Amino acid sequence: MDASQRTYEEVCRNAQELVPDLKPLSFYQVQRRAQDLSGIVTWEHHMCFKSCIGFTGPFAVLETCPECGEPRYDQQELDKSDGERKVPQKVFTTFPAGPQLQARWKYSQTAKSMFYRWEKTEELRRECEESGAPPKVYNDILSGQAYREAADDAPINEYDTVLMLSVDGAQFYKNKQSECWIYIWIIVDLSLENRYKIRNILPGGVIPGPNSPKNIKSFLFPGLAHVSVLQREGLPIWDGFNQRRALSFIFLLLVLADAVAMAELTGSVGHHGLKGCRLLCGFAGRNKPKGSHYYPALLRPHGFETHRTSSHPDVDINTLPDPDPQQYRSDLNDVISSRNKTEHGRRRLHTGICKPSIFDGIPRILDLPTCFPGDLMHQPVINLAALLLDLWCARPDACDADRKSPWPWAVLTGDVWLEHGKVVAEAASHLPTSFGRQPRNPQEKVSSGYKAWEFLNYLYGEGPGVLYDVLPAPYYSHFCKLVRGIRIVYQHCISNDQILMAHELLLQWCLEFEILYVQRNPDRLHFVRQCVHSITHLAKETYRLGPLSLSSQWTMERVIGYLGSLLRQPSNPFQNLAAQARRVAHVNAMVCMWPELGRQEHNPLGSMDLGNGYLMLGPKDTSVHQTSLAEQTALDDFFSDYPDAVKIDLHSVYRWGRLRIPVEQTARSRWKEMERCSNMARTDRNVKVCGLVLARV
Amino acid sequence: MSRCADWSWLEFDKRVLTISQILHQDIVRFAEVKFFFIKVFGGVPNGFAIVSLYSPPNEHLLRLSHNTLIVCGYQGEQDLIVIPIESIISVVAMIPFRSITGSCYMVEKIGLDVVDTDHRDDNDEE
Repeated sequence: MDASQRTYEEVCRNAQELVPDLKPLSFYQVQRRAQDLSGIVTWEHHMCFKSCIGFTGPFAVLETCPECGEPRYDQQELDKSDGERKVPQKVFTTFPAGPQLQARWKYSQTAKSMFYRWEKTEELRRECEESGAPPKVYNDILSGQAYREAADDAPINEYDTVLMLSVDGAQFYKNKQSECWIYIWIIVDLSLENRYKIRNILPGGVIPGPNSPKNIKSFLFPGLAHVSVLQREGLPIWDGFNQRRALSFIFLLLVLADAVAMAELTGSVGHHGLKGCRLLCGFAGRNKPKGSHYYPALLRPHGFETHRTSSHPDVDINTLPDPDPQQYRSDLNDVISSRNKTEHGRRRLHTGICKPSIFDGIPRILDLPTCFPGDLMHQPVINLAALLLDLWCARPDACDADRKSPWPWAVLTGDVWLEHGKVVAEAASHLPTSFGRQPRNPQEKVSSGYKAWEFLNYLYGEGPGVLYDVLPAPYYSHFCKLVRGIRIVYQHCISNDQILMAHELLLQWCLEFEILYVQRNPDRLHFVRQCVHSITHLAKETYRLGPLSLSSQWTMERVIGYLGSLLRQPSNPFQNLAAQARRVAHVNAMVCMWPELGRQEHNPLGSMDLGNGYLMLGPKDTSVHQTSLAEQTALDDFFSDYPDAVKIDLHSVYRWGRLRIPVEQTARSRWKEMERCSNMARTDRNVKVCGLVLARV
Repeated sequence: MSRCADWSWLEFDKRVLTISQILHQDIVRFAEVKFFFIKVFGGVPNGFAIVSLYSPPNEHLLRLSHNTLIVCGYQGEQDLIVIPIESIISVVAMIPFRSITGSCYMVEKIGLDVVDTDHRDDNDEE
């Protein structure tokens, strides 16, 4: 299905040569048929040529862009036809969620998979009623407090659909203006194994660049208005599993975006404001004298006792505020009711809110601002890694005016940094293939498109190993606290105890960051970027929303990567992208209705399924393996007490090379990896084992 | 992470062991797989692996690093044992540790399988 139009036409021609009577559909006809069969509709709305706004909602009647004055219609066409023909200069595409959801209910087995959320909800309710306490283990968004409360209060019923909206900008070609914005819907009703697969993601819309949209809300408007109507009136569905009609009321659980887009969507002031936390927690930062940029510092710098806006005393890290819907409501009312510009400016500063959010108009959504979660990718990984490296490498971005004061942490300079880069890249060659992207040499590559996964594997994976004996002791120990906390919040199954431990470690890390690095030095206030503050929310957000990696932007990144790989026309990437996204929507819907169209998963040839998610994979010995003495002893030891020992011929062992385990990793063996004998090959032969019965101590 | 491995076939075996030998359960250890093999008991195939156990982690480095620096010694043929495959929890990285020769530090996969890195999905679905 990923093949090009030309491939399709050639296949048709070949088929026709073999079977002359065959009359295959043209490519266009296939597209039309796909649209009819899937029932997926596509909307195109006019937009500003420079991508400022979409002509929707209050802008629908305008003929020029209110931001840049660019005309809406092609002026040549308009002139030629005496104002008759109104051809838009540019359009953006929306894929309404309703029909895409309806398609998921038609076929019995796919419809059954939509009940996962409801089954899990019932299970959690029983568990919580029996124990009288929140769940002991957090392994899904559904186990988070926010969903559990909403399920009771909203309420969210059996046939309702819970969605997450994810918005992000993407650049498809390096060094080329090709920024494009995409949004998708993630269906929370599906189980974890299915929810994040491309086949189960609903494309929401494609907003062409090359400029980034100035008013993102006007582009989301058609898609959101459609959802809002469905929330009020219900989406009629045919439940193919129970063979009955039903009404599904959508609930929008979370809205995911990076920090910049998020500020636009929440209507907040953004990260440099006095109250710049993206969760709108209301924590007040401090600014440098005469500076307009605020930094969320807990400790009052020296000499700030008489500072006009930032003289407030040290803040106890254990009393940090949480996002509060009531506070948000009253703050928003204050801001809206400002009588003039000065008053609006003042209230905006003190509340951190500058305008109402478009999501205020959504009837079924978590209370604002709690529907905007923290993000596990940009702030704790990319931004924080950038900050730490700025400091350790003593980059000019981070330097303070007071150059005389010592920087004991600035150790990654000169030859040490050169050596460190090599060590990191060397260590990366030992990472198993399932670990995602290997970090490249940071000394060479960190400033040129170092990927989030590289930072993750570099700092939070290799970090404690490659920085040992490099960072001075107190800084190393401090860094390890962060690593431990982040590793915990990244898990996909987190116990209550672990959340508490992570919370304690991450709070300690934040406070000690100011003690160890900033040292109340007003010239270093800018070390305390928002990403430092964001760490304080991670554990509490996990309690509220379950493992945060399930509501992070990783899914979006993958969708962008997938769509990017489908692009076929570098000359017109935007139109091509919209066409590819439409095709994804069509194919996804059709695979739901006729699963036989999708790729069937088969176990590889020669493999042996051992049950419980374990799959033995080749290569395999063709003749009996000659066991070494050490191997023979191990076999004897293990099987000596085995009741059926007599029946086992311990001497006949056929070796297998690989094993697939339930967490979807493939373990390899020394036997096969040594044969490949390439030093560059990744090592997948080391495993973590548990519950061993160790006969020998 | 918790999984329910099927231990029923081992139950009898365990009882024998508790009488005669010391039993260590639920201890997390790291091991290098030499190879896997299958043995059939009562018509049911069971998977096993011959592994070389790494030594238990260096306590001093563990404490110093808030449990993030897990350094174990590689023992090669010294400590070969047979394990049932159900005891294998995950694939980890063992990276040579420069400060102590002959030892490695352990790195686990960060994040989860459902969200990313399952590249099969990107490439050969459809």
